[in-house]
Amino acid sequence: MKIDLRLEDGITVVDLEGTITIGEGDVQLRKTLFALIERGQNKILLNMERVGYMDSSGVGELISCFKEVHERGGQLKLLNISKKIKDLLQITQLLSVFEYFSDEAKALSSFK
Amino acid sequence: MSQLKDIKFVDLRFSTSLGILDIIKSLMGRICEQMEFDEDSSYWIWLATQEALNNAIKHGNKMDKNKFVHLVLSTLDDEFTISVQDEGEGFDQSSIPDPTAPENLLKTSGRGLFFMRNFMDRVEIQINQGTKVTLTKKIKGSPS
Repeated sequence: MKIDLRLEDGITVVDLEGTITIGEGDVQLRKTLFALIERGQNKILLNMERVGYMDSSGVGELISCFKEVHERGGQLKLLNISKKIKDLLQITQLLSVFEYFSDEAKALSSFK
Repeated sequence: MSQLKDIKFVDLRFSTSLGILDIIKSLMGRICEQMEFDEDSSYWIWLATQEALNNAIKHGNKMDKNKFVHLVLSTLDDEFTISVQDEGEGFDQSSIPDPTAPENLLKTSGRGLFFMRNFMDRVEIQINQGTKVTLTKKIKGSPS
């Protein structure tokens, strides 16, 4: 998985590219986000436009990161999730947990 | 009709490793294409299969490289069947909570079997010298 970070108005946008599955992407995502949280960058927007596939381990890692960010008083939101990943989050009832956006400007302004 | 069902049966036994998943994914993609599953169906069939393989490798064989996973793919009549067997100790199905229950929503694991049941037509689990999970999908266009 390719992970790029950029700072937009105090919010860390994490651009992901690849898959979030067991042994590939899941641990990498967790390490990246936990390192951000440790540095106090706890307003995080995960751009998943280029994530085409995620298994239950990937869902688990998203939840793990979400919980960690919230415990530190931060926010983790999703941007540009694909239809299939949206379906996964829908059937697991997690769309009610994660705030998600299809417009980056709106997503960024929602943190304020 | 296309070159349907060139591959009718695949029997694969491999030592515990996540590294083989890409190869199996490629093989599954080819078989799904031959059976004229659409892109969405192929996607979800692979997700269900990967969840079964993940469970066998991680929870069944506990990543032990000295243990094996047995994968059988078969197309018979109007069904595509995938069976995954590990060499673990088995598990109690009733011990797996409903991941959509409010109290379980934020649990970080326990969704693999849920995905299999959502995306396949039938899921059977047998515990006997390991766990054998059999996933079945009806082949589209076949007479019922």
